[in-house]
Amino acid sequence: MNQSNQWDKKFKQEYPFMAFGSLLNAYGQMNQQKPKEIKEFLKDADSIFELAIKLMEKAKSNAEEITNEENPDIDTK
Amino acid sequence: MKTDEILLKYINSDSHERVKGRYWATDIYSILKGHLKPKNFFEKKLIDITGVRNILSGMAFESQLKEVFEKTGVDFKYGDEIKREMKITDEITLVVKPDFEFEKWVLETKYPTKKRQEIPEWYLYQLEAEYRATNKEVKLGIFSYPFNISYITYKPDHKRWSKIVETLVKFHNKLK
Repeated sequence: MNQSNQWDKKFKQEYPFMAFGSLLNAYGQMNQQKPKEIKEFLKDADSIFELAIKLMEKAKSNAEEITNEENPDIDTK
Repeated sequence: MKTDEILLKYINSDSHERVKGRYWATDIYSILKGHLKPKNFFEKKLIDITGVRNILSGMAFESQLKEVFEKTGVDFKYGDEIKREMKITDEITLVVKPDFEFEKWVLETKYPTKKRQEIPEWYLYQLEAEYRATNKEVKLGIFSYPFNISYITYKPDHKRWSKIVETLVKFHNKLK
C-alpha cells in the first residue's frame, strides 16, 4: 500500500536541491576570483547536481526506517 | 469579507474565557516555557492567518475522523462528555479534554506542519495530563495528507506530572 504523504512527496520534490545549494556555494568559494567560462561552469554545475542527488539518496537510504508503526484496534458497537 | 478575514474571525471569536484557578491542559507547555505569563494570562491573544490556517486544518481532519467513526459504528466518545476537571489543589482545577475516548484508551490528534516520528516536547505535557485525568493509555494521532493517521503511544512519566503540578501552583500564586 502506498503510504506516501505530503511530507514524503515534498521531500521527493526538493531533495536534489538541498545539497545542491550547499555544494554550489562551496564551488563558488573555491573558485573565487578565478575566471570561469560559462560553458565550464554549466558543465561543473551539472556534475555537482548529480553529486547532490547521489548524496541525498545515500542519506535517505541511511535514515532510520520506522519498523514499528502502531495500528491499534478500534472497537465498534 | 475576504476569505482570510472570515477565517480569522471564525477562529479568533471562539476562545474560552480565562479564569483564575482554572487552567487547560493545552496551556501547560506555554505556562512552563513562559510564553503564557501571569501578566498576559487574561489578555486575548489574536491568532494570525498562518496560525488560523493550521488550526483549521487540524479541526477539519479531526471532524472528518469523527464522522468516519460515527458512520462506521465505532464505539467512542467525544467532546464535552469526555472533559475532565482535575482538582490539583483547593484553588486550582486542571481542565483536560482528549479528542476521542475509547473503552481502553484515548486519542489526542494533531496535524503538525512537519513530519513527526516522535512526540514533540510541546505535546508531552498535554498527553501526560490526559493520562492522569482518564487513567487510560494515551495515543497521539498524527494526521497526514492524503487522509491518514499515525499513532504513537505516550509513555507516562511521574516526574513530568510533578512538573505540571509544580508549574501550575507557581503560576497560580503569581496570578493576581
